[in-house]
Amino acid sequence: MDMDEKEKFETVLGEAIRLMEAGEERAAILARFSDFQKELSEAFQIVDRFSLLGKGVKPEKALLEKIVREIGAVTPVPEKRFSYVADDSKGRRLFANPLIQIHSFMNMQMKYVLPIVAVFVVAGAVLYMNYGGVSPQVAQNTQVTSKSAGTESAAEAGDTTATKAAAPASTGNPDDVVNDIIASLAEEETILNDANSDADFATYDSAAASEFGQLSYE
Amino acid sequence: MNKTIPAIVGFVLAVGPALPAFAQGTTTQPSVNFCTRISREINQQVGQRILEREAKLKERRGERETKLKERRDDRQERLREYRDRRDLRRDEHYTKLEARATTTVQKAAVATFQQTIESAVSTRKSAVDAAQSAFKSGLDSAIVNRKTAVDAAIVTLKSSLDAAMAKAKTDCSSGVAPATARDTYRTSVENARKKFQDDMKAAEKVRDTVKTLQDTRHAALKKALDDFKMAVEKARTDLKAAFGR
Repeated sequence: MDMDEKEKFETVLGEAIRLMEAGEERAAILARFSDFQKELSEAFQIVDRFSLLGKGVKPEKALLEKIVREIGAVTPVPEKRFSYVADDSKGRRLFANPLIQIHSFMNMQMKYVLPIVAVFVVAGAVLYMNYGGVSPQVAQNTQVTSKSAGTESAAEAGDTTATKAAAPASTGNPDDVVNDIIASLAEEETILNDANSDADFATYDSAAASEFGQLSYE
Repeated sequence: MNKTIPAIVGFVLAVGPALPAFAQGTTTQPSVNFCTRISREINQQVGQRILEREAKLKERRGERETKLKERRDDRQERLREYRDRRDLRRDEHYTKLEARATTTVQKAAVATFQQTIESAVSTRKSAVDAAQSAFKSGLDSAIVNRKTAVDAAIVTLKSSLDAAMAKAKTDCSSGVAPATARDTYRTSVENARKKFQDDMKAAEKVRDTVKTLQDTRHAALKKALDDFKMAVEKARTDLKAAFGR
């Protein structure tokens, strides 16, 4: 059977299974796909064999006795039950206990989840630094500005953020050049306006001085 | 223990009604006590309170000096950093413009543009620095003047209190009724207090001085800004003309 025939047979087999599950007689199915009667017959035989195997399969008595012996007394308390897995057990484990499920998830699933999350976090940070946010230097400067500019207005603060964002490369376009020069003035204004708050220091000792007039002199 | 609590309760019940009478007794004798207290307690207490307030005032002024210096230094540093950064940025612009200039006219226009901008920047720096410096020295002077006024008010208050104290001692020792001596002292203290408060109000007028300084500085900065923008816009027009835009 070459590749084309294999692919065709797989299609036929899929269709045959669908018809079989729909209740169609096997003879009718074989008649429908006369080109693959032999192959389909073999497939049906395999299916029958597995179906028969599934019926009446029981564990050996010795195995059952071993399981009961190792488990010990069965507790009526659901929280104290656990999933039994013998040392020589094969196949998938039963996760009856939620703690075991969580433990297994943390050990197995996180092997895939954590690296994926880490990749997203790093990618997000790179994007933020390059396009979405401001550079660390600018962030530091903005912090200093907000710390020392105690009375500056919200509008001034907004100007600072806008003007201190990482500047793009110069284009050499006269309009861009002049606009950039003018736009930068807002940042300077913010720095200079910070001096307005110095005026508050003129009366910084008012409260302490006024206490002389409020003392009891008796 | 079982006998102690009833004994305390009994004592309180027995003596309790008499307590107001004791309290009244103390308030009916203050004028007599005043002459006793003026030479001992009052003199010491007033002196101690004034010393504490003077120490607090000194501490507050020290804080002002430190904080003001920190703010100024920080601002100066940020301005220096800003200017350095902008100097580099303009150099970048000039380099790009030169690269785009292909004809002799365009190259000459770029050179003129650069010269005009740098001149405007320099003028603006000088104007800004002058305005900042004038505000700084004006504020410092205002602070010093106010400190002098406040200190003078405190000195006047202390002198008045000393005089009132001396008068009270003299009255008490010369047979003036204690109640009269006390009233005279209180009147003198209240007058001294009022004088001090008036002096403080006058000292608070430093706010007007500072407001004038702020307005002057603001006007100077605005003019520097307007002049700069005008020069830069003119340079833009000339440069664009050379580039045929």
